[in-house]
Amino acid sequence: MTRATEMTVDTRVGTAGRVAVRTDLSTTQRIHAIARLEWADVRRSRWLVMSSALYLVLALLVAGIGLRESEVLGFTGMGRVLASFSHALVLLLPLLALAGTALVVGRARESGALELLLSQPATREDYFAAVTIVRTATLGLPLVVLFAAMVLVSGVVLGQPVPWAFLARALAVSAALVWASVGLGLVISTTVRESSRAIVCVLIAWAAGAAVLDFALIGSMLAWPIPTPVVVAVAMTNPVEAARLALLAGSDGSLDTLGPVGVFFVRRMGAGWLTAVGVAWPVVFGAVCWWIARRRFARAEVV
Amino acid sequence: MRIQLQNVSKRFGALVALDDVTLTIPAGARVALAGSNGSGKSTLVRAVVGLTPCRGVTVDGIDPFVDRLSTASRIAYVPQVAPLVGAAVGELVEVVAALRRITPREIRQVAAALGLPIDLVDRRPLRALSGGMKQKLLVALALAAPVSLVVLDEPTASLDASARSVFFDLCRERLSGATVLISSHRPDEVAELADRVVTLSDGRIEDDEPAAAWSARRSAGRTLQHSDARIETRPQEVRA
Repeated sequence: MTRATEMTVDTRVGTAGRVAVRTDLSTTQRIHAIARLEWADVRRSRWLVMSSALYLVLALLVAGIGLRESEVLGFTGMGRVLASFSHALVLLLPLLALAGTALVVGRARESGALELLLSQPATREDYFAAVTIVRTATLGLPLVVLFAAMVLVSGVVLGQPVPWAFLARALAVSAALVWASVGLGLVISTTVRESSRAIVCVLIAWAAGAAVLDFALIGSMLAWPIPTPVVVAVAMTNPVEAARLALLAGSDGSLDTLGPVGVFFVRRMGAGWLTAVGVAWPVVFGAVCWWIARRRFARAEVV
Repeated sequence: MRIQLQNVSKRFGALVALDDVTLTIPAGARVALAGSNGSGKSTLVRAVVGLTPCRGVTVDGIDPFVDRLSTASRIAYVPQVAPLVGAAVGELVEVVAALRRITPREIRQVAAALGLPIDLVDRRPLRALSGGMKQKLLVALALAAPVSLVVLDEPTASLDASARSVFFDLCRERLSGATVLISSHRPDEVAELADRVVTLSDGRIEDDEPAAAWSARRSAGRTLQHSDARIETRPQEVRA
């Protein structure tokens, strides 16, 4: 790949047979250029506004209910608000991220944007990286801003103690879950050509993530003879369950809070390791999905 | 840039878009692709630009799909259908200028020559422009950069007569010495931009002839069609 520092003598004919001397763009410069266009498209599609508004509505709802003095799940006051908000996010984030990424390649193809951009001096990998950065940032940044606003409101305005440790964990878990969902969404986007089928895939993926939690699996165990190791393994391969357990790892550790799979892991690993695994697994899952999607995008018939 | 297609075949499921096509276009040649809808023109054009993977296609000896960066900066492409992106016109101009290592002013100048003052539509989303304005912008984005291969897919389909005339003048001015590959149905485009016409039919090369011979054959065919039509209408006229 040519770097920005390499000078290339360009003998292209072009305007009145002129000979131009120029430098080629670096990978970072190309990604930056395409990301600008993608960002402009995201801004105008109002997807950013919609996801931010959803976060905000959710935060307001949770704060309205949760800021009363009570003790649930080992959290009080602002801690309870954050716990409830993060729980809701564990279900909302995958849906938003899947919806925001699973149609990105299909829509770009249908709109003709891919044809125009990929005929420019940029690689498919550049385009894919730009899309990933913009979409992940669009989902993640409003979340960071909202968490910061909640802390500000509770700490400064309401005078509540801010649960910094839980806040840091919630942010890490949310970021990991966004990344896992973005990766999965991009796999759908590069595999399924038709938008209508991609939407169905999004709903199936989201429903599977929301349903294959240990509670649902234990329910299945009551109905069918499923071995316990299978239940534990299936539950933990679900990034949503891993994120949920990482979020709750610092709580009282009771069965009704963590669920059977959570208790199983807390007793064997401890809360610290469960948090680490619960954050790391969605990150690894997202990275593997992203790599598969990128490879497919670079080689397949996408335009 | 020299274009070489060696026994190129391309299928989309059961559909055969290109069927064992062998074609050489020397550097500096101006070739038009003719043929009915679905004959394989757009697939061939996209293969040359590197938009679709196609074994056997090389541009200056390089596979344009595999080695994008070596070829894409020397190829300009005007697609048949303008993209419906939500980004503003000004943003698109700046991004293409950045990728092409030219200034936005160069694109604006070409657009202005075509009758599209970009300053007036700078903040409008590209998808909100009229068909003709979008086409002018796409042509400006392609012709502003110094390139050695220009690939045009029905470039004047949405342009009015005066814009078409300016477009031909711009091509003469800016593309001297460059290789030109154009997919077109329009005789005026072919006459202005091509020296040679390759006619495709069902993904295969049906004819490869000088543009003058193609135009003459087409005119003769049209005259024949007109006379056939007159003959066919006679019984109806008699009945009336």
